[in-house]
Amino acid sequence: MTEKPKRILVYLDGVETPLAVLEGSAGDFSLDTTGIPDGAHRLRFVTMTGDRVTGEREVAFTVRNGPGIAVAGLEDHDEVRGRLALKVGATDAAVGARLDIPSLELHRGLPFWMGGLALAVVILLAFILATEPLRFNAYQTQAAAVRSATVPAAPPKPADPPPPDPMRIALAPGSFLPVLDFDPAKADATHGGALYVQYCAGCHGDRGQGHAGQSATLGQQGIYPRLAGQPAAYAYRQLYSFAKGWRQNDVMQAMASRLGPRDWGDVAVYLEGLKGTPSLPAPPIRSDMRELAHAILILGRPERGVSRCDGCHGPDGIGVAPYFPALGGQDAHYFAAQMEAFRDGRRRNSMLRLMEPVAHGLTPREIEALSLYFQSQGSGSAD
Amino acid sequence: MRLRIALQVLALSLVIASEAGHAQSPGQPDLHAIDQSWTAELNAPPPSGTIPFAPPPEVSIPDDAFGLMVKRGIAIFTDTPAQAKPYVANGLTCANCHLDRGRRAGSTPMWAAWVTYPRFRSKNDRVNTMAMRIQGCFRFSMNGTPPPDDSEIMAALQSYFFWLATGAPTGAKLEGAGFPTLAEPAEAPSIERGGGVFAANCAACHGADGQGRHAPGLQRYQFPPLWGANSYNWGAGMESIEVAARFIHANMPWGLKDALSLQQAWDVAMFLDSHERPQDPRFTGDLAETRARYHNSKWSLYGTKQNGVLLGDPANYPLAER
Repeated sequence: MTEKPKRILVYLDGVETPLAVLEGSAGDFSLDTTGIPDGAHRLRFVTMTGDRVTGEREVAFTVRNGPGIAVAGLEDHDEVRGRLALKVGATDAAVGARLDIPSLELHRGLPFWMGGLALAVVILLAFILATEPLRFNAYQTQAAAVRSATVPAAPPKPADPPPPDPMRIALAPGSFLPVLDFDPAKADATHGGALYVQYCAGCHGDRGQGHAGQSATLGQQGIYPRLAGQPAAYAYRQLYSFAKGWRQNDVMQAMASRLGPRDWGDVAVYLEGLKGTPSLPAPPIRSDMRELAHAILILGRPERGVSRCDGCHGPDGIGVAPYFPALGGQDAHYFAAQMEAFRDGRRRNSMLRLMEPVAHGLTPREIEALSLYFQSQGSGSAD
Repeated sequence: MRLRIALQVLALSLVIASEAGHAQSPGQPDLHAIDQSWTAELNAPPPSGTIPFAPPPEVSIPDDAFGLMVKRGIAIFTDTPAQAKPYVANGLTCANCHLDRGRRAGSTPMWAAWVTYPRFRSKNDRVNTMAMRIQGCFRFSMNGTPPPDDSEIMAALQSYFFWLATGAPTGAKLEGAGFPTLAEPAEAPSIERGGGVFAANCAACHGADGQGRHAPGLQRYQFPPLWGANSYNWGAGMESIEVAARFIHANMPWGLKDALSLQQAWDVAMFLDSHERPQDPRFTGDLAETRARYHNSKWSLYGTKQNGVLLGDPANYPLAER
């Protein structure tokens, strides 16, 4: 033990797991802010020699990947009277290290050379417009050739590469490092309950029981899963994923975006507290389907990449906090729809992407069997 | 049979040769010093001649006295601390390492093991029956005491393994036996990097503190503890960084094949082993001597100080009188 190794640990917000560990007493480290919810955050740097903490520094910062909002004509703490004429700009360009408000103020005189530049742009545009039909024709010919060459249309490819999973925290410097900063102990279940009644209960039921059919408030036909009793961190992660588009669902994306991370946490903790909500009556399941589902539940289909369900979701799918949802008592239609969404990429947020090989490996009959089996595990089947 | 013995001797002499640098007396190496027997044992496959095999489905378990014993074996295998309580001193089940109830290829499946016993093992320098091998698991991996040869537990587990291997040729090397081999890492395994791999890929299930998780209301672990009082002891096969790296690379995270790179698997195995766990039951009373005898391998951290903890210090986990 001659020289003890030095390292720097980097933490984001209150998350206990370091975001990065830098060897030595200096290093590069890149932070991708697109994986962090907009708002106030702080990075904490802890220097260590061996196992001894030698220093600590915190940097507070604000992430804003939404449009920057620049206001001209009014500054903090101005004294004002009468009617004000303000300029407001909400553009991506307004995002930066600092918002450059003067650049948005248009009352300044333009430099004389701007006239020449504008003329050049107009000439270029005219040229492009004049030659456009020619290039369009060439494209049409090419496209026709391609179409005739590939008569059986290729299956549609997934639109874009899936985003990195928010729980996959690679600690190498420069990697994508989103961390879900969620502390159930700091959440306010009462506030969450109020939000739930306001935003969620219309579709998911007054006690989180969910239902399949017509939504009470939106008048839409849909599948509204049971939310009652789901682990809070799981529910929080889903709201985060909806807002991010990692679960594609227009209504839920709008709902999650309307609320913020603090609200998600409040609602999530409220939902976990609804454990006692009885589940809805389950449809009947034939004994052969029950046996099929049970075999997959406890053994999976390893040869097709299907892990057994109870490895993560617990016996009979009771759910394992904090991250693995309860499947028992869940609506069968919802379960089947999620398998399809995992398969076709509309849902890309499963923990470590564990669900994708499973959804790809299951047959439609197996999915049906599992969906009925899990719903039959709720309290609704007892009566 | 002769060929097998010849191969064992060959493998053993290779191990001895590679150990010669560390051995105290080169002329007469102490067989106990060769804890790498795990490696030799799990590596064993001759490059060709493996036979594909799939265990029978559980619905075909016969509906008779033997079938009942097989089912009892499954119950013990999947809930060992409750079903074999007097012999288990931690929270692990057999199925924590032998995944999918001992059925999964590449995860030391029991159907492959059944047909390769009795065999010579350098770990205890003798020919072992399957019963002796199982007893070894109880002593090390379950940190417990071996069930008696004629106990129901031993009969049930062996009935289950025998049934899993239905139709497999005795003595055959079956495809998927043991853990797949893993090449040496490009860089020496790093505890620091391994900690990062752990946080990103393992902590979601095993917990940031590695102590595992329970399903609500259940005594049995849903995700097993990887170190500490409820995990395997310093004498278990999984304590070898190489064995752990091979298991992890082939099987973790759960159900994802090759999700971790070779280097990541080695790094995270090193990270696991940098934590304290129950004492090696072969502890001689002297840490340095125990390390020299049983842990004198390339990467082992037994007997070294990590994060302020002297790993294997008898003060941490004293051996209980049994």
